[in-house]
Formats: sequence, structure tokens, C-alpha cells
Amino acid sequence: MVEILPMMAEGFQNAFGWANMGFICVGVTLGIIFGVLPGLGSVTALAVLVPITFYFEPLFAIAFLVGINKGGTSGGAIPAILINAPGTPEAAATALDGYPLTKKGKPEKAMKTALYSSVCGDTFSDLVLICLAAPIAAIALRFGPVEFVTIILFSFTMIAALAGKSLVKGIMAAALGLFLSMIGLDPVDSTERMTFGTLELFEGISVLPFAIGTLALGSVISQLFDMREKPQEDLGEKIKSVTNYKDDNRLGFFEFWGTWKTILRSAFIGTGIGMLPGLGVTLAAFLGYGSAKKASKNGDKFGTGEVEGIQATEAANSAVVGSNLIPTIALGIPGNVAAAVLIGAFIIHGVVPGPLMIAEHGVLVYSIFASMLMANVAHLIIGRLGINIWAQFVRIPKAVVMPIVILLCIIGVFIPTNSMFEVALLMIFAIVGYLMRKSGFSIVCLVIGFLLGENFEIYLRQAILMNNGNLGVLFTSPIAVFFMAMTVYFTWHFGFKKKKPKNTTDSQKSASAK
Amino acid sequence: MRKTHIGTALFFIPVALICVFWLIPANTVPPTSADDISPRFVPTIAMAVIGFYSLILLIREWRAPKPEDGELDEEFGAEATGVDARVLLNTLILLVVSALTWLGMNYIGFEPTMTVLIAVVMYYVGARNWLTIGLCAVIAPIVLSLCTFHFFSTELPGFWK
Amino acid sequence: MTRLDRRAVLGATVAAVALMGGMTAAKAEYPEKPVTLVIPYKAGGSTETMARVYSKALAKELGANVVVKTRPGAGGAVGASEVAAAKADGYTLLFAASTSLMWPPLTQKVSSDLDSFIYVGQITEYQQAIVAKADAPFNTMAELIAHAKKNNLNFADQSAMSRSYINFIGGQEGVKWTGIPTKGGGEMVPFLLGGKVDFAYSGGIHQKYGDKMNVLASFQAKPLALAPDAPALGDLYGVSQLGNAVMFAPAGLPDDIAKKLHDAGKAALDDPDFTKILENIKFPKTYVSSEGLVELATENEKALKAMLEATK
Repeated sequence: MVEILPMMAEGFQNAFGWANMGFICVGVTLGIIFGVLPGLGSVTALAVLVPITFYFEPLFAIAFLVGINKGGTSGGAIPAILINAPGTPEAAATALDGYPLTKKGKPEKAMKTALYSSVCGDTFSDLVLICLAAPIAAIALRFGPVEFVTIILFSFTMIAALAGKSLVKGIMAAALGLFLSMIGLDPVDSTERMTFGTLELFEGISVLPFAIGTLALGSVISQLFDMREKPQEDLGEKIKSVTNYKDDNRLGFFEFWGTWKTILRSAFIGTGIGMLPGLGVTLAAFLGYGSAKKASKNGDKFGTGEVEGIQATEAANSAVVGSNLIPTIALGIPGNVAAAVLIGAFIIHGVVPGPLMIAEHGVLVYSIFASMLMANVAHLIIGRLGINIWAQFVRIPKAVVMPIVILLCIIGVFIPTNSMFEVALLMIFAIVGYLMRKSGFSIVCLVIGFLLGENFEIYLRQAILMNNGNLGVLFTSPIAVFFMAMTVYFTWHFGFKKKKPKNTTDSQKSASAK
Repeated sequence: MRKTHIGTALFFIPVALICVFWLIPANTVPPTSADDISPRFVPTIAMAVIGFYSLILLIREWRAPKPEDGELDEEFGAEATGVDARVLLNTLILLVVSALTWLGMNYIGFEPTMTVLIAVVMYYVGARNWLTIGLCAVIAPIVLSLCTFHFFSTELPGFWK
Repeated sequence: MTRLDRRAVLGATVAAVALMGGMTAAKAEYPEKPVTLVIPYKAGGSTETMARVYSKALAKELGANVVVKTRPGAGGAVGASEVAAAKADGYTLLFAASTSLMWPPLTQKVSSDLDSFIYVGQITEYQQAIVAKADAPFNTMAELIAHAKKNNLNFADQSAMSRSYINFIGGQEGVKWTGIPTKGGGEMVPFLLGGKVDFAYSGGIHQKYGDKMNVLASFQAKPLALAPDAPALGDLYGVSQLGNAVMFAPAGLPDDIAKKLHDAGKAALDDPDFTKILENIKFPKTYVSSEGLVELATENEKALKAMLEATK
């Protein structure tokens, strides 16, 4: 411990330079802009900007990229709140409570809540990373396919929380997502599955056109049709006419911190998901939202514009950003796609993430840690200034904004792959999204089924192969047993526990949805 | 919503049957290792779940139709109106416009196609200010295309490129 | 269509025609317009990053802009098919691992194979190996085989191809082990270090783990440049995986353009930025000319086919 302190001091000192500060601020700003543009988002931003950073100093490059990752993860909340078109799948649950707030004339309040929750979650997870990277990484190594299968099984019970009263429809949507995720080459045998010989489908349906189509483009299209069919109250006009706009959009100290438990819970969930390689930001967001909906006494009001719903989602998805560097820095294993791109960036600068990194580049590692904390401050300030700008967008007529959003969705899907096939997928899923919206089938459940499906299958099959066809191992690993017990408890809790005397079973409970 | 549920169920029950008994077996290959579960396993379960719950949805709506109590959908609120003739017509429009946009973007190019698309969409939703429509339709595609090229070094399709 | 719409379309068309005219002005010497370098993998990986830096060096040598285009899908086959179908005029090139072109045609219906391309040159070699945890009960290939004869072992592979190779070796030695599919090095490492598998195929990621991982054998024809003590599968079993990053062009390229590309491609390797990045990602600079590559590839393809036959 003693020899770490001077290293830490030197590292922090290096980070507090004007140049580094500049790179962080530019990174955060770019990240927010990328996140705001639907279809782009932090992964695209990182992948595209990594080659540019090759020509920077290592610390600046990494600080810049870390800033992008932070800004990008929170930026996705802005279009979700303002136009109900989540720029990234992890912001899907943000739209559920964010957009209703905008409709009530409180867009700035929603954006402030999102930003502050993001920064809180992010800072929490950065601190965990800085203080506990090594011991936690050792725990992460104990997680294998067996443990992951049970975590995903447990996550599936969240569908019940998210589907609420329409449980039957939620399960159908999730099953459809699961089925769609199975298309492509079989992960074990590399034989074709429902690809019909289409080369573009060999690696499965890409997440990007799927998520952007169902979540963002589908919503935009639905709104366009509504605009045609019934004269809409123009939000811009409405907001201009609201006399107490300023008061309405004030976010009181107690209003935000009164639900500190939700923020802490979500930050904890996000940090936990982030440190386990292969699970991902979106899962954290949904778990955060789902658990808050069940645990909070306002849970029933989620979806109508509850500040707490935004907090639950945004604190969880941003908390992934710091902690997914735990396996990256301690083991050299990417926590998710964004971290994988970051590893690439580390390596081209001659810094090899992994067990040797702290020994070989200790000062740099602490400079990066310091930069992460600085980036959180920058994020808070830049994000807060940005809200004033984004709020103006609500005043632009929707007839102008929406067509441009369509173009952004198309471009965002086209950029990473240069593929018109992906554009076609985007359009198909937009139609699916539109129909699901109209018929009340949960898109959030569809997306969860899709994102978890592929991992569920591969982990299950890995677990079975590793144990020569024996599934008894699911009951020998303590971690697995813990999550199995949680799964059983939650299934019971959501499915069979009586809340009101009238709704005795889940099927009747969902029958009350019209 | 009742009609929508019955319609969805009637649509998914045959789809699930076709998938489970024909599409999935015809388009997957049995596993090579005896310890492995079949590549068919998870897709079949997914489709079976869809079929099973469609049946439940159908039976429930058939036997005990709940009165429309005006309660809003939890995820979509008033947006979830149920699928009626109007929504089906919109879907048809959507299909045609999507297909034309895709063909136009692929064979003609991004900028001209999107110019037309923006103008049509803006007119469709009720914009009648020709200056606004014209400016948006011409400037937005070109600016976005230039940005894509310079910031992402990605060239959007165009026959002249 | 209304008046203004028509005007807008007209304007765009005029602009388009003007642009087109500017580009096909006069026929000059190659290259007279930007060259597109297709990378058939997702952005952010080591091959893609390498190719982006290499493209800058190549641009300097060619005297024209080189635009990198990622076209991922089907383990490289989507991008490869696109380049195979492109005009053979030297303006569309492919930067890929040669196995991405060799393996799909052998096992799947794809529209391109090695004959659809000509080689421009090999840029570098991947450091593929069979690795084990440092404290594993075996430290060499021979000890691994001896251990496997007494125990049930699992190994992590990263593709059907790497699994075929290891199963082929098992068949030769009369041992049976189980391949656990992983989604690449990022998943293999925790499995190996966490003791979920006994040994693993590594595409080069083991170099990041210093003394925590042991190289048991090189997956290639010759021992690895960075682990010369471990034997090579090529020497032990007569099979090996061609692990190299190669620049390809569609077949039918005119000779003068091919020569120019060949020279520029070779000279670009000495670019200081590119040299630095190869050093950082610990890839050796191993240039092989197109003639040498043809020989290597034919040999390897033959071995691959024989191996596929044997493991069927």
C-alpha cells in the first residue's frame, strides 16, 4: 500500500493539466452529441474515434475516449426524453418516464434528473473501480457460464416487472425477441439457423438496426401518423405558453435526493453488471428500472412521469461505464463492447491492459483514474449547460425535427457496416415497432428477450459442454444457487403473490389490462 | 383492444405451429456432440411459448371479455389504440414508403431520395410552409451526408460517387 | 409533385451531375481517385486498427487518399464477397486474415473463394497458439497429451476452424477432449484463468498475460516469433493454420496496377507510425510477396481440406 501512494500522487498530478482537461471536455462534449443523435451512441463514437487518438499522447487519448464513453452513455437519454426516441437501447426505459414529463411541460426537469443520476451512478462506480479493482476482479473470475446462465434466468423475471399488468403480452414479446436472437450461425457448431443462406445473417441480426428500428424509428413513425390524424398540441407552443415553466422545471434538492435509495440501488446494480464481462449496459438499465418499480412505493405510478423512474434507469446504465473497466484493467478482459474498443485503444498506445498493467504503467493507471473523476465533473458542468440548448429543440416544430431524425437513424445504422441490408432491417423493425406500439405489446420486453437470448443460449450450452452434459452443476456453485433462489423467489413474488384479493393469478392480473 | 388481441392470437398460433413443426427443423442442423443441446432447442421453446400464450390470450378474450375500462397501456399510454383498419392502412403506407426509400437510396443515392422523403413526410404531417419544407429537404440530406463523409469517412450510397 | 419539390429534385440532380463530371474528368495514371480498403471485421479490433494506420502509410506511398471501409459479417465473408464482386481496377482492396477467405468456402455456401482474389502482400502474422494456465499440470504439448489420456479435458476454441484443428490433433493422439465455443479472446481469458477450461486456442491475446499463460505450441507452420521454444503444429502434426493479415485485390487486376500496389504496399510497411503500432500490439512485421503467398496458401488449403476430411 505504501508504494502505491507516491504512484497515485504522481498519477493524479499528471492528470490535472490544462491539456488533459481540454481533451476530457472535448471528449465528454463529443460523447454527449453522439449519444443525442439517434442511431449513433458511445460504441460507434469510440470505434470511429479510436484511430484518431493514435496520434495523441497515451494519457490524453485514453482520457478523451473515457470522456466520450461517459458522455455517450448519458446523451442517449436526451432524445428519449424530448421526442420519445431513445438514441441507444440503454435509454429505452428512460423514455418511459422522461417523455411523459416532457408532455407535461417539464423537459428540463427530466433532463436534469437524468444527468444528475448519471453522474451519481458513474461516480459511484468509478470509486469502486479505483478502490477495489483488484479484489473485485478476482471475484469476477469465479463467474463462468454456469453462473451467467443463472444471472440471465434471473434477469428474465424482470420481464414480469416491466410488462406490469400485460404479463402475457410481455412474455410473448420477450419470446419473440429470443427467437429473433437465434437467427444466424449456431454458436457451437457453426451450422446455419434460419438464415436461408443469407450471408448477412450469418452473424445474426445486428443489435443496432433492431434496437434503433423498434425503439427510435418506430416511435418517430407512430408520432408522424398521429400528427396527420389528429391535430396535435404542439409541444413547442405549449411550452412557450406555460407561464410557470421555470418553476415547473426546477428540480428541488429533496425531490432528487429523497429517493437516494433508488439511485444507490441502481448504481449498485449497474456496477455489479458492469464488472461481469459480457452482460452489458442495457441489461443494467432494465434491471435498475425493474427493481425500482417493484421496490419503490411509487412503483405503480412509473410510466406516468415519475422522476424516480428516470433515476433508476440512468444511475444504473451510467454505473456500468466505470466498473466495466474493472475486468479491463485488472484482467485485460473487456466488460462490454465499449470496453473492448477501449482495450484496443490502450494497446495501440503500448499500454497492455491486464494483470501487468498496474505494475508496468502504475502512474498512467492512476492518471486515468484521476481523469475519470475529472470527467465526471466535466460531464456535470457540460451536461448541465447542454440542457439549456437541448431544451430549445422542443420549441422547433415536430414536423421539422422528425424527418431529420429518420435520416439520422438510417445514417447511424449504415455507418458501422456500410450495409444496405442493415438499413432494410432497420425499416422492417421500425414497422414491427409501430405495430407493437399500437397493439400494446411491450417493446422493452422484446429488446430484453433479444439481448439476453443469445447469451442465454451460449452460456447454457457452454455450461452443459463443460460438464459433459451434466446440469447438476447449476446446484453446486454457490453463486449459481444464489441466483437460482432469487429467480424462484421473484417468480413467486411476481407471479403468484396476491397484491389485491381480486387478482389471484398472473393470468387474471394481466386480464385486467384491456 | 379485444379485437387486436384476438387478431394477434389468430396470427401467432399458426405462425408458431409452422415454426415449430416445419421452419425450425428445416432450417437447423442437429448437434454434432452428444453432450450438446440441439440448436433447435431454444428457438423451438421460444416459438412454443409464443403459441401457448397466444392460445391463452385467445381463450381469455373469448370467454371473459373485460369491459373497456379506459385504462391506458403502461408502456405506451394513449399511443396503444389497438390495431384497426386505420393502423393497417398506415402499415401499408409504411411498407410502400420504406421499400421506395430503400430502393431509392440503394440505386439512386442518399441525397436525392432523402430530399424527396423529407418533403413528402413534412407535407404529409401537415407542414404547408414551402420555404421551410424546401430548406429542410434540400439542406438536411446534403449536410448530413457531408458530415458522415468527413467525420466518419463513410460514403453514403450515390450513383455518381 | 409540387413545384417546389420538383425544383428541389432538379437542384439535387444538377449537383449530382456536376459532381460526377468532376470525378471522371480525364483518364490519368492509377491512382486518380481515392482507393477503398475494405476491412471485413467490426470496427475497434486489432486488425481494423492496424489497417487504419496502414492505410495512411499506403496513401503516402500511392499518392492518393485511402478510405477505410468496415464491412463486417459472416466472419469476414460478407466483406470478401463484396470485394470479389468489385471491379478489378485497383480502387477496391481487402485487408483481412487469409483464413477468413479460405475457411468459409470450405464449409459454407459463399460466393467467393481464394481464386476470386490476387495477393498484394502479407503484412503481418498473428501469434496463434495453444495456451494453458501457468500453474496447469502440464507445461508442454507432450505433457498435455499425456495428461489428456488420463483425464477429461475441456478446451476453449474461438471458431469452428480452431476447434477442428484441436480435435484433429486429439484424433491423431487418440485422446478425446471437449471444445467449448467462446466469442473470442475476451471470453477465453476468464475461462482459462478462472479454471473453467484446461487449455485454449489463442489468437495472440496470451501475449498480454506474461507469465500467467504458457504457450504449449504454435498454431502455425513454424514456431512463433515471440515464443520460439514452443513447437509448431506444422512440425508436430503436419497441419497448421495460416495466420496472417494480407492485402488482397479482386482477381483480374491489370499487371501494371498490381505491380504499383505491390511496391507501395511493401514500402508502406516501413512507415514509422505503422512500425510503432505493430510494436505496441506485439505483431511481427513479416512481409511476404504475392508469389510466396500463393505457395503458402495452396499448401495450407490442401492441409485444411485433408484435416476436414479426417475429422468428419
